Amino acid sequence: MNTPIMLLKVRHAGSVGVIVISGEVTAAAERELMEAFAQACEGPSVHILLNFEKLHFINSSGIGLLVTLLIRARRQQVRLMACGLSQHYRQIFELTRLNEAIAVFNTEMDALAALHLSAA
Amino acid sequence: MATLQPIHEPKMQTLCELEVPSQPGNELVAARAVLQVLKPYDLQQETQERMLTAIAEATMNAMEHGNLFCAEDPVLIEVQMSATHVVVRVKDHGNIEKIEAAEPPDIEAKLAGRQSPRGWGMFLIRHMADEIVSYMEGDRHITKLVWKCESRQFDEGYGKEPE
Repeated sequence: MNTPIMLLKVRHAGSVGVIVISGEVTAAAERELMEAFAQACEGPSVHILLNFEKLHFINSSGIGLLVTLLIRARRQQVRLMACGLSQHYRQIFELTRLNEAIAVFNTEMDALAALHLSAA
Repeated sequence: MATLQPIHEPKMQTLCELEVPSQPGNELVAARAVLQVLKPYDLQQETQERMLTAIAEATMNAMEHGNLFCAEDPVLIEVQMSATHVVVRVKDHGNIEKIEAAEPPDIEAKLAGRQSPRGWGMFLIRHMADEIVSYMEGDRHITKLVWKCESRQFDEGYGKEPE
């Protein structure tokens, strides 16, 4: 069996937990993604930003994992955001209507700036 | 009086036939192998990305629902090209009715718990390919994916009527 390659890094920027996703998001990524989400929700985080700048591939199972994250985020009253999507994956977010539930920004800086503006 | 001209469909040239064991992870290996075969034809980046997604999904469906992840029962992939189209056939031992019966995904139903979070495969294939046809040929279930494309690198004389 080929092991899909995915790396996750979690950091906090004020009230935002940032998950940087690198590589391939498939069914094999479930445990790591859920753990990263739990880690990102620790502390004062009320927003979770998924940074897809280093994403190589996401398949239908990966889309399913994002829906699962969204359900968990809503239960925990945490708002999910995304940035760094390529044009192709931005289109997939629109087709699946994930973009209606997850606010999409071009860059991490744009996402954080939007939060600061809304807090001001 | 107008004369009806015969329509000549461009002949398809077979570029390769691949065989991949039905094991998770191989869907992306297969899709990347197909794109590697098509690399000399310099297809648009956007078309290549749509192809990668659709071929990987169709191969995953074939491995999972068609061949039930039986590694000894490989998925066969045939790649053909003409001056105007790329056709990829993904072949497995599945049941056409079972695959066609899948409920279309709805994000609101999924968020409300009325549908599983999964089940986006066929939806993605339908949106990423220009045409999709599913049919049986003997004991094989075939998913035929078609993309319109223009490749300056493709031998334009192939399949055309001589002038």
